[in-house]
Amino acid sequence: MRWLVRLYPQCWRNRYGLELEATLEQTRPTPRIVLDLVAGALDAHLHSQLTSEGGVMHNPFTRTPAALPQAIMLPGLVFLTAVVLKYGLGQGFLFDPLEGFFSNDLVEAITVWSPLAALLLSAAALFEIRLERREDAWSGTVTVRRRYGHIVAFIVSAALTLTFVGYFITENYIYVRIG
Amino acid sequence: MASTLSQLGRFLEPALLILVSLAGRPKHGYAIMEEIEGRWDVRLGPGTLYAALARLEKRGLVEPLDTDDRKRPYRLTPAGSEALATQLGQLKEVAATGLQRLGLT
Repeated sequence: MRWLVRLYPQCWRNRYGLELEATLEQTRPTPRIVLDLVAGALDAHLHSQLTSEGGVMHNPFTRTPAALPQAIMLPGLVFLTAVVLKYGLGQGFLFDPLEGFFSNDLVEAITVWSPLAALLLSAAALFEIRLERREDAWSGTVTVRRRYGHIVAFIVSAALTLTFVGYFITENYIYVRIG
Repeated sequence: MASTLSQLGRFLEPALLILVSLAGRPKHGYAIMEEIEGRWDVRLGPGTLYAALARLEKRGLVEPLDTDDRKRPYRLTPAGSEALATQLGQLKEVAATGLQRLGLT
């Protein structure tokens, strides 16, 4: 269970890490203990002022490489490109996207949700959020970072997400009403 | 002084149990967990234990003792004793009222 200690922030581990590890060595691992430690780690991130002066919670996603959201949105991007080529421009030389992507539940879920996942990840990397808690008062600043790879991923995944949402609304509400 | 512990919110109960456990003698984390479970049948997880200990230490109610061992013992500070006494006094009053209303005293 020692790996769970790594979930805690560095300043917290510097202060309590060894003690917690020693305690865990004597504790029988159970799902309840694991959950308790995960909740404890989250609490330590939210209240890092307990182990440092003027606690600061940093956005952990700012170091995410831009290639990650770009790779995540690929299934949605390939699907939409294939749909436009086949049904929009009549270029069906690639494959039938509906057959290729919607024949399997897992592939369908990945295709549909990948743009939203990429959008959230790139947004999390672009916006640096600093939350501070001193005593009982919270304060925070939001800084937009100039990371072009993430900006591209954000714009493309936002466009894909909007297209999918628009398609979903059209298919399920507008066409239904007309029908 | 009662507000010192009341400020701990959801950590009030674990903190109270930890303070009572440390009132006997200094103990390290696992010994505190063991006593609390053995005596009051309350299973305090290590995450909860250290979250409560960190809050108590920050408020100067407990303090760690110097040791070379990884199992660092903690002891009650005078402020911790005072806060515990105030809290227990309040609980005694609550318990007395409850028992009286139930006709058990």
